[in-house]
Amino acid sequence: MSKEVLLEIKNLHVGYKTHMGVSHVLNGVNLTVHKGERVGVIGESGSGKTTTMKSILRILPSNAIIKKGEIFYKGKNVLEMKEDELLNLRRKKISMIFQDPTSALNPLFKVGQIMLDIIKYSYKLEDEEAKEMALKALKEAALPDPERVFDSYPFQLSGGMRQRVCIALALIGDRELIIADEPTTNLDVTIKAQVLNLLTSLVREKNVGWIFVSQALGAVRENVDRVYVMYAGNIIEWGPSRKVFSNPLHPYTQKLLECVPKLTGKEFSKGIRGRIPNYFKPPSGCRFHPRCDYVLDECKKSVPEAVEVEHEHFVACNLYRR
Amino acid sequence: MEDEYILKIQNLKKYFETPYGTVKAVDNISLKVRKGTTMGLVGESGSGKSTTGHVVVGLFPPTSGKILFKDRDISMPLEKRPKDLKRDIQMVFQDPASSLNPKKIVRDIVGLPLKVHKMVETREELEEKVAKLLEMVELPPEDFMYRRPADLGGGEKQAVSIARAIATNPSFVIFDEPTSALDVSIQAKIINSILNIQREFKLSSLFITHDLSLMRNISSEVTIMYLGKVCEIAPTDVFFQKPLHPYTQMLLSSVPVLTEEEEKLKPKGITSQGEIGSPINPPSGCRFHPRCPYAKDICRKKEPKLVEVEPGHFVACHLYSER
Ligand SMILES: Nc1ncnc2c1ncn2[C@@H]1O[C@H](COP(=O)(O)OP(=O)(O)OP(=O)(O)O)[C@@H](O)[C@H]1O
Ligand SMILES: [Mg+2]
Repeated sequence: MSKEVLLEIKNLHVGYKTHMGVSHVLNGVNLTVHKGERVGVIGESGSGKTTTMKSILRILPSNAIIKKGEIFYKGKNVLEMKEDELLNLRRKKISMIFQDPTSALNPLFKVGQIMLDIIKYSYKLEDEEAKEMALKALKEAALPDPERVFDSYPFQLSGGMRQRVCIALALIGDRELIIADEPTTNLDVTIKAQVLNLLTSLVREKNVGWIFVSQALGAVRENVDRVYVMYAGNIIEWGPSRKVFSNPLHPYTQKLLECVPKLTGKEFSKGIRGRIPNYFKPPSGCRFHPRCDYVLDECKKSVPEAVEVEHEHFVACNLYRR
Repeated sequence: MEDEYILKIQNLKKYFETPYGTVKAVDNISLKVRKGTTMGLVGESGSGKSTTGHVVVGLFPPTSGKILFKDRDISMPLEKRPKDLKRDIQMVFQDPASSLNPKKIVRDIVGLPLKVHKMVETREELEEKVAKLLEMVELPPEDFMYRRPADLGGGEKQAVSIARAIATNPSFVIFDEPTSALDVSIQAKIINSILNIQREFKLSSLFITHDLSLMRNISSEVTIMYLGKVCEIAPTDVFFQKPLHPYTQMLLSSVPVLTEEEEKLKPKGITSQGEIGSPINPPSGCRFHPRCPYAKDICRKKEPKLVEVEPGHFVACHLYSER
C-alpha cells in the first residue's frame, strides 16, 4: 500500500442548528485515508460518523454548520471548492453507499434506467456504451443474472441484491474513494458476509480507497487496514486494525470492545455507565471524562492531545501522556 | 412426577394467507424448553423464529400442531386461554418504542398488568411494586417512575418493557430480539438485567435472535431455523464445538468476530453463498439445498427428518440420516 494521501480531514468542527439551540457535534475530527487504503470508522449511535462522512462530500443537511476545519482531497480543500469542482468529485471520484439501499434506488424506475441515468450524466456516453458499462458493473458485483437485474424494479430484488446494485453503481468508472456508511446493517448474517467479501475484494482489485463506517466492530476488524474510534464527536483512538482491536488503549475503546458478546461465551460486560453526552452542552475537556473510571483533573480542562503509543497506533487520552 | 419441560411445541404449523399465496412461516416444527433454562431460537429473516414466539404467546393460534405449557394445551386462541396462563407467559418485543403507550407515564405502563390481573389494591401498593420492578432493570425509580416514553433512550424503553413483562411474575418469557436495535454498550446493560432476572425468578425463556455470539452468552440450548423448518437443536456448548448442519456451519462462518480465540470456533471450508428462498414457494426436499455445498440428489427430492445423532443433539440433514 502506498503512503500517498488521498483524503485528509483536519480539525473538523460541525454543529447543527435546531429549535433548542446549536449542537456541538464534531469536535475537532482528524482522519486520513491513503490511496487504496481500507479504513474503518467505528463508534456508537450518535457519535458523529455520518456527520463526518457527509462533510466530505458536502452533503450535510441544511441546518448543519461547518464551524472550523479543513478537508483535503488530493491536496485541495473540499470546503473551498467551487460548485463544478464539487460536482466532478461527486460524479467521478468519490461515491457513497448508504445503510438503506431502498432509499438510494428510486422505486419508480427500473435498475437499468437508474444506472443509465447516472452513467450518462457522469460520463456523457451514448446509450449502448452506457448499458455495456452498467452490465459489466452488475456482473462485477456478482449479481447472478445481470440482464434480468438490469430489467427489474428495485422492489423485485432482495435486500442483498439491492445492496449489490448500489455497490455496482458506486464502483462504476474510475472511482478513487468509496464511502460506505453501515452498508450491511439491514442484511442477514450470511448475506452481510457475502456483501462485505464482495466489497473488500472489489476495493482491493481496483485499488480504491475505502471508508467503512459501522457499529459492527467485528465486521470492521476483519475488513480494514486501519481503524478510527469515535466517541461523541471526537476521534479518540486510531491505528492499524489488528493493533487497535487486540490492544485497545483508550478506556472507552476498551469498554466498548468488552461490551461485544463473544462467540466463546466468555464474561459478559456490564456495559458502560452513563450515556453519550448532550451535544448542546457537551462536557468540557475529554468528552468521555464523566464516564471514565480513570479520570484525572486535567481531563476536565482540555481535549487531550494524541500520543503515538506504539508504531502508528495513536490515542487521545491523558493516561498516556508523560 | 413433575415434567422437566415447561414448554413443548409439537408439529407446529403457522401459515398466513396472502395475495401472493400461502406463506408457510412455520412449517411443522417441534422443540422443547426445559424448566428454568433458556432456549435460543436463531435464524435469519423469514426463518419463522418470531412467528414461533408469537404463536406461543398467543398473538395468533396455530394452523395446526400443539403447544403444551406445563402440560396444559394452549393451542387455542388467546381469548380462550385460561387467565392464569396468560399471566404466566409474557413477551418482550424487538421495538420497544411501538410497544409502549406514549401517553402514559412509566408507573402506569409497568403497573397496568398488575391492575389487570388484580395483583395490587391501593395506589401505594402499586407504586411500591413498580419501584421494585424498575430496580430490577436498573432504572432508579425516583428518576423514572413519572417519565413518559418520549423522554427515554432506546435502552431505557426496552428496560421498561422488560419490567412490564415481569410484573405479573411469569414463569416463561419470550424475548424477541430485545437488543437488536440498541448500541452494544446499552445491549450489555439490558442483557445483564435479563440474566439477573432469569436467575432471581427462576425464569424459563425462549430467546429469539439472529446473533450467535449473543445467543452463546444467554442460552443453554439452541434451535436453528431456516425457512420455517428446524435444522439443528443442541446444547449450546455442543453446538459450538460440533455444528453439524451445513446451514449452521455457514451461519457460524459468517459471524464477524473480535478475537483469535473466536476465530477458531468458525468452521473452515464453507463460505456463504446464495440467498434464502421464498416461504411461499420453498425449495423442494431440503429447503437449504440450493445453497448447500454438499447437496446430493436426495436433498432435492426428500425432506430430511430431524434425527437425534447424539443425546440432545438433533439435526435435519441427509448427510447424517443415513447411518
Ligand atoms: N439534521 C440534523 N439536525 C440536528 N441534529 C442532527 C442532524 N443530523 C444529525 N444530528 C445529530 O448529530 C449527532 C451525530 O449524528 P450522526 O448521524 O453523525 O451519528 P452517527 O455516528 O452516524 O450515528 P449512527 O450510528 O446512529 O448512524 C447526533 O446527536 C444526531 O442527533
Ligand atoms: Mg450514521
